[in-house]
Amino acid sequence: MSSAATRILVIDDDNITSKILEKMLIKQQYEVTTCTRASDALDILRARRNDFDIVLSDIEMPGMNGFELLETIVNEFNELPVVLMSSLDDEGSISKGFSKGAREYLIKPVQKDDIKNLWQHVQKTGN
Amino acid sequence: MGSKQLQYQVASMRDTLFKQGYLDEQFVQLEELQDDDNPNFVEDIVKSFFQDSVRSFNNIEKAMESHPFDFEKLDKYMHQFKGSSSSIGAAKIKEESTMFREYCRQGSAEGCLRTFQQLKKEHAILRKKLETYFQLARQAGPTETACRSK
Repeated sequence: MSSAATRILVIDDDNITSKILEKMLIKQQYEVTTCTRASDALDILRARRNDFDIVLSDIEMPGMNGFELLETIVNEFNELPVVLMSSLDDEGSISKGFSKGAREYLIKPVQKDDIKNLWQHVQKTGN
Repeated sequence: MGSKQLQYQVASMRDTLFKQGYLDEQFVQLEELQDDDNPNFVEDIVKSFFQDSVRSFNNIEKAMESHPFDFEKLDKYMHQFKGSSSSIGAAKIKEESTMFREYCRQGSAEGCLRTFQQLKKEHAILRKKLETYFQLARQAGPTETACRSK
């Protein structure tokens, strides 16, 4: 039985980080869509809700930040898991992420081991 | 120069970049992403970084023309630059970026100016070293990467 690729929407305003993440995720057999702004991510999700299994978002971005995006996704898209990523590694930011509904919080720079079992981990924490 | 000798030179140059603290383990992560589909992935990403840096530096320099400094704005610009430098494993650049952000938090214009000069210096040094490294790597041709380590 073949398993379909996990479809991930990645939001990061940094071009370099985005390219690296995309490559990392493709190598882990994800089907990747990227965008640079939270507002664009919401447009994509609203137009294509059933096309994504997971969202991976930076926190500090111009305009709507990752926390705000997370809250909107939790309200509008209920079961769609969101993983946050940031160089903010203080307890306050991490707690804030989880309290707002993030399934995981990755510290940047994201390593390939962070990505490796991300989907399985997110599914477990969602149950 | 023979291929083996070139490959040895490339490996030695790479080793030195790590030992002298210019690169950190994140660069190894980049190398591990390189494959037959993207045989120049590392060089392409590094090139993009240096191209994007020009815009970041322009933004920061322009912001530094205003007095007093808008430290919040400067911090935001540097935050993004630090993120990319961290992503490619540019260790010394990342350190200077961190220091710059600390001076922004302290509201120290002098600290920001001094650190920014040092940052640009480190940036130029790394750019030159990596250009030379990639040029040599291209001449040497593909090598076995299975056992590559820092």
